[in-house]
Amino acid sequence: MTELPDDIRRALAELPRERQPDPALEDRVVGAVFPRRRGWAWAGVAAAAAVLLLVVAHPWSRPKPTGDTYALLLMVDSTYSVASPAELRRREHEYGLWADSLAALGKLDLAGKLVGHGELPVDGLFIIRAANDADAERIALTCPHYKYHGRIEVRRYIQ
Amino acid sequence: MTGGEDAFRALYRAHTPALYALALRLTGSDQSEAEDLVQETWVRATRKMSAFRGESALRTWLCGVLVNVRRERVRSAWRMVGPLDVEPATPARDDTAFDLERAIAALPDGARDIFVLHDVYGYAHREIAELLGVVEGTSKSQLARARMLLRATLNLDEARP
Repeated sequence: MTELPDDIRRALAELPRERQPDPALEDRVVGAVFPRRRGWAWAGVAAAAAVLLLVVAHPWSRPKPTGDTYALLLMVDSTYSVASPAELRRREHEYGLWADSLAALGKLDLAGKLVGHGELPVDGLFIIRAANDADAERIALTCPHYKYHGRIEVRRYIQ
Repeated sequence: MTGGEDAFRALYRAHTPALYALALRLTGSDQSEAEDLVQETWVRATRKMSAFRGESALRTWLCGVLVNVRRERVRSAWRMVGPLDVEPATPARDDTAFDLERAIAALPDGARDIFVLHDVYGYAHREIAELLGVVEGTSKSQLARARMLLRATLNLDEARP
């Protein structure tokens, strides 16, 4: 079998075994592993399962959003990764799950796509509640939009 | 935050850098795909945690889950042809330094998976065959192919006949 020279083998052995991913990945993974943790609390309590599921699954049971209001503008410009129509549908579903997780935490007022083309390449809009600017940015960082190299503009809404 | 989530975050922080490094190498340094792999690995691992028997280190088991997730995604996913698939590999070696990572990333998918697992992470052909669902002969032939391509990319044969 083709062998590699000793210096190459040594270099291979010395390649770093660890790399730090984007810090936002942690929240994304936690969100995926515990997708509706409030809703899944019923799992071990059979008697309460049906009632709790009903309560969690309905919008009226969700916590009322509190905090300052922020708009997250999802920008889709040249940096956004190109995708097939099927992949775009899958991404929309993924964004929807993310929005659901915010709603479950009482941090979402409104979510949706924007139709038509304005001057800014904005494709989606989320109105969220956050404690402050930093909290709003932290929430934005958990959005799957970043995974596809999109950008998000965070703006505080003042009435 | 729940106790379960706290515990999970601790596990995540302990093992994700290793999983991400492996995912990056298997995907040819595609960060987005590597992050997806890591995410799916954790989702899968938490569902299958009861299957972990402690016969290997948790990290080794997690790496196995990641390799399986990768295999399934390669088989089923719609894939975009990237520059690495169409551009010929360019010599990246000089006398003092060379970009081994880049040369690995330039390998074709199948050969890269086996090269990374065998020559970088030290898996045996038997283990690779089991993880990837191929026969050992395939693992050996793909490794030979990967090494040959790597030698060509790094100009090793010209530099050291």
